[in-house]
Amino acid sequence: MDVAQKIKSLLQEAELYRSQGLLREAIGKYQSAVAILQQIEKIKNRDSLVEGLSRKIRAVERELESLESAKAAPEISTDVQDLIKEKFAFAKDSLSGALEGAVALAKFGQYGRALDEFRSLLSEDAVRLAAAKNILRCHIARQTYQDGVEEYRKWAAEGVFSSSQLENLRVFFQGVLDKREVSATVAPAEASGAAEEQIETPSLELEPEQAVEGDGQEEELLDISSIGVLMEDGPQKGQRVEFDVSFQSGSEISLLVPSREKGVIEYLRVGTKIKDIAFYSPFAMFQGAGVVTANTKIATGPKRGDFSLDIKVIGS
Amino acid sequence: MATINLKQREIEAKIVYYGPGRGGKTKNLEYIYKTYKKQVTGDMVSITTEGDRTLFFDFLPIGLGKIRGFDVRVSLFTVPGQVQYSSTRKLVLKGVDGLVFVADSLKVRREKNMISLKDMAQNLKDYGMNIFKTPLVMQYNKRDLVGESFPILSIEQLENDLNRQLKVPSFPGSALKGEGVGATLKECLKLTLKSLKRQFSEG
Repeated sequence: MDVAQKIKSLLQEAELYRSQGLLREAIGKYQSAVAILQQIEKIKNRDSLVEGLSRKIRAVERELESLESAKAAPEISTDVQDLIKEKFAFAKDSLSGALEGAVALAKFGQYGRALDEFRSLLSEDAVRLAAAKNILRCHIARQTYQDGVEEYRKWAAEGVFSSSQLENLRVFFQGVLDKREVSATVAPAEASGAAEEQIETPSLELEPEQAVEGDGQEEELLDISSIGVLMEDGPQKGQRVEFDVSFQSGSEISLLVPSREKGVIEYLRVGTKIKDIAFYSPFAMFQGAGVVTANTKIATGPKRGDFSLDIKVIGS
Repeated sequence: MATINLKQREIEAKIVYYGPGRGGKTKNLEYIYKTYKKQVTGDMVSITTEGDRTLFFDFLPIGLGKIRGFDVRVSLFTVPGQVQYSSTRKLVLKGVDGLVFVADSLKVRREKNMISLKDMAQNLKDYGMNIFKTPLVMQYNKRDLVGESFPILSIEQLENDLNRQLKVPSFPGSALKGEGVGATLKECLKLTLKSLKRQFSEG
């Protein structure tokens, strides 16, 4: 194939990929064409051709940038929120189903609606604690920490939770606030504010914490605030590297790893089994193992370029 | 997991279209929505982001009418194919009864096909499901580009990359033109209903 044909073919490919939204592939082909042009001095109008292609590359890069900076979880219509609530709840009993639906809304980033749903479940003994913890999780995800503190204060004043439930919620929330270095204090509930122990949740078919996960099959772990991974390979082999847990869903935890931690990101590939993990919760520290189920570069938002790792806890 | 309402004699199943980003999953559902009007029982819902990329999922409800006295309804979903939406993909997969894997025939997407298939297998595993035991159909999309001057994977290469071990039914397709879309869905529905029947007869 002569040079002109080669360049023509690369440009046709680039246009096809661009039209299909395969922008990185399009940029690659434009760049290959530029590289060929730059090697051959004899081509007429070479500089203007290179300039034209460079403009195209910049335009596609802008498209890519606008895609990557798009809002990750925009507010969607009430109808679609209803659809999520209906289609992502699998539990047979209506309360657990309602809780699952609200959790699904939160997982799709519909925090406002999820908060409404969780709040409506606070009146139900069977799911009250799980709903409250998820309300706090929504505040954590939205970084509306002070709203979370206010909401906790309101619960304490209303007396609908037992004192042990309130303490459970407080320790969980304060643990996360401390880890994130948020200067807010969740004050312990006064004894008079909390409901008496005798109105403790009655025995249930499904534990509230399990109901959060919807399938009730996973053994619920304590709320883990951070973990320490004993590195078995890579530049930090033999060292215990600590990470904050950004989100926990049953026995699966998510971590944020800064892009500078290349060795860690490389070592913790999907499928990697980690034999020695120290799990730190506000209540206790325990040892266990896990497997990496996702290792994804964050494409949007303030953590762009960093990596989000999911680890499934497989034993403790 | 499909829901069966014995009292009302209704079955509701879930089929998910999985595959790499920009591979044609949404186009499949759009074609079904436009073409199989008799079976479509509601509007197609698409939640897209910039550049028409699927953000959360696409959803299309269809009805198959009465089968052995049961009213069979199927929810068709697509997952977001972009790598960064890993947790959403997993969430959409929950409770799946049948799968269509839409592979991209463009050579430049070869690795993405394989990564996506592996991701699907892992997500199924996380839900306690086995890819070898889940109703699955492959669609090799964008075959309309064959014969043009673009680097395209042959069916043999795609079979070798993606279906060597699975050995599931596969169809060449062009979701843009509608070719193979109906055949893919029909085969997936057949396998899914067969699997549901087996599950329920086993109790």
